[in-house]
Amino acid sequence: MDEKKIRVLIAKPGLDGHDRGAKVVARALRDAGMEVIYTGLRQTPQQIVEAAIQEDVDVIGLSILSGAHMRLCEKLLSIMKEKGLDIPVFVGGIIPRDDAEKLKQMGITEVYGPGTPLSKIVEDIRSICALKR
Amino acid sequence: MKQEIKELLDHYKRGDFRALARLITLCENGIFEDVDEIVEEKGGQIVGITGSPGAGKSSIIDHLALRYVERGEKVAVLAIDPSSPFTHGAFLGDRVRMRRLSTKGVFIRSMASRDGIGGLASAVGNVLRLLSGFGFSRIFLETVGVGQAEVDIMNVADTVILTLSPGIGDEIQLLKAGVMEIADIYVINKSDLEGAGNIRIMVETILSHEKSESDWRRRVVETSCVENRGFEELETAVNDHWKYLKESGELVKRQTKRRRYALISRFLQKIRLIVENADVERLTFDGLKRLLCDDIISVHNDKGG
Repeated sequence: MDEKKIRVLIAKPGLDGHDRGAKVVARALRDAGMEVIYTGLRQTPQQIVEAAIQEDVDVIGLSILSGAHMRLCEKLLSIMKEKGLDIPVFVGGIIPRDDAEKLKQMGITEVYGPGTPLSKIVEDIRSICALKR
Repeated sequence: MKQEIKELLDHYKRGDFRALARLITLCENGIFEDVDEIVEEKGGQIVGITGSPGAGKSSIIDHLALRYVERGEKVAVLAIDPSSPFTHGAFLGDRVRMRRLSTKGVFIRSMASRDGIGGLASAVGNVLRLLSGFGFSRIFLETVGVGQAEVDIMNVADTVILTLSPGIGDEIQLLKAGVMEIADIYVINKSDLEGAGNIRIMVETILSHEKSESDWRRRVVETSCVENRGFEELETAVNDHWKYLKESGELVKRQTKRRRYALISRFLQKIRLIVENADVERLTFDGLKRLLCDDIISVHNDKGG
């Protein structure tokens, strides 16, 4: 078993309770052969970073539909920096185009809006993990 | 030993969660294999929880582990979920039920079963040793949701808890050999639902007829996670069993069993890899033995000896 499995944390930060999208993405990543750790709803950025460290994941995926994406991502990235955790973070959800640009400048790797093909997410994660090795 | 592992072990010894997490990954990927020769167990209790899917294993761990955390103990959870036999991917969802623990400094690790059969993952032996050596005083090990015959948990845990719940069937199911025989403690979860009392009576009846080799009297505890009931009694049962293991000398036997299991699963893993990469149409049993010898010799040469 020398081949390295890709491990992904799928998390829902903040106060929105809609996790259909997160589950659909998690399922697609599972079917692409990845090991997906799902945290469940209403996680604080602190909890998400802690989980990412303990689970030793290669990638974090956040699902945000609450509109609080700027604050949540800012907080998450700053805790990651503080803890020295340097892994890509993807965001999916309802994100206005201007905000998506700002998130990327902030350090988010990619932002996926409604209608993004699942295969694109799978490919992006695969290629970024291949780069890191 | 690889330099990376050496450096990680230094951090691990200083109590760094990140180093522990990295080392677990290296165990899972077969890169760090000789854990038992490098890391010593430190004597924390390994509590195994098994039972069918949806019986409440993760929720029980959430309630039970919290009690130990509140007493100031260092607690870890290792939770296994199945890998797909087709894509080898996995959806690991045990953390969802353990949200309270994650804010209290508990180390939680989700693990895919990968090639493991018997309800565990093949790297479990090594990973448990890493957790024990890290100094956790209680380590909760959750199996995949099991059916009737996945009994490997009895080979690695000090204390085995079997989770049952209303609706699992009649006494005929409970009389079947396998999982029903291996527990030290039986939990009837979801006891707020109708039918829990009946199961309790059936289990107690079966246990009363059982000839047991040990002096431990197996317990039956009713719990309800929604009503937060029964966990004090469950904690007492877990503590009593731990005390029994130490006083009776049974603990040493369980540790030996664990070591044996870890060696066997490592070895089986090796054989599996060789067979998977071989041309099975032409492979004879003697041929397999030869391939295994070649592999051992090449490992020996790699180590420079």
